[in-house]
Amino acid sequence: MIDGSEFAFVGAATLAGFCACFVECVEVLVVVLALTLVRGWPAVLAGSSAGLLVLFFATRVLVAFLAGVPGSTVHLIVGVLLLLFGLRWLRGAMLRSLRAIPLPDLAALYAKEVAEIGALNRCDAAFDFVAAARALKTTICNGVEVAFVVAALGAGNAGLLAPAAAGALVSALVIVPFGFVFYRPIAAPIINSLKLAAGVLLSAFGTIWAGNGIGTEWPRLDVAIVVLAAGYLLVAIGYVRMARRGSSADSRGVSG
Amino acid sequence: MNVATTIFDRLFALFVEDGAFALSIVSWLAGGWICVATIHFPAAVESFLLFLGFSFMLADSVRRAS
Repeated sequence: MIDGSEFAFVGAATLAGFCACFVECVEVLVVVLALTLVRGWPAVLAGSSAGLLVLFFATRVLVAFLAGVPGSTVHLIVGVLLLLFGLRWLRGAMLRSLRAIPLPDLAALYAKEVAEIGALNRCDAAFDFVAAARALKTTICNGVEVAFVVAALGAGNAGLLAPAAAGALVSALVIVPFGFVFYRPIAAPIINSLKLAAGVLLSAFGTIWAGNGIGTEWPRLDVAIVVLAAGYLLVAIGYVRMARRGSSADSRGVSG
Repeated sequence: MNVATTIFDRLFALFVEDGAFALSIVSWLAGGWICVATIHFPAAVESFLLFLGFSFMLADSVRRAS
């Protein structure tokens, strides 16, 4: 469990839950907005709510299952999975910063969804099952990453389940009204920065727990999480800056 | 069967995008496990080496993809 001196550890889990959920919520919201616009809100609300319920129970089951696994083994399993997941997000954010892969174009995604949903068959029943099924699928497909983050942090340390879930809930409460009030997608660079932040934090958690799993001791968790997160952030930002400088020098060399 | 394959593919894709990168992470950790069990470095050195390896693999994977 976590005590008061490990405030940074709890804060990092909350922030990781917040950033991960924010990124995924934005994508779900684009589809839900498009569905609501084309097919109306009752079926979309029902489908999204059912998806959230499925994710909630999946998270509970995963945490309960991992709670039965011995301490060092669960740390090794969760640590490796968090490392793979966090470093994958970090890698993606770095590649998007370098423009090696494009930033998500949410306006284009919205237009594509509106066109696709408009082309779907309308059912004659009072309840629009097609729209509900699409909302359910979108919520589950995007939400499974948030469910994994919350479940993994909770399985790694029972004291982190509530902070990570609270972070995710707060971000959903922030983003959903924003989307419906302003009715437009969030700027892609903001999403990439949040994905980078989530990747940094999850990689730091993954390193700590994978290290615990193989027998490495961390004397102070609160110091370790801050140092590792700062380290991964420096590596990511430093590499992106260096690569940008290198590519601009190359282009000057070609033009000169 | 098709649904099960799709679910497995999606779950696999949650963790693995660049196969060589994922394999190098797991290999570095496995190497670390052997070192921790056989050579007794100070805890700070072990932690730093773990971080250094993951950082290097991250930078290498980004370099290959960009």
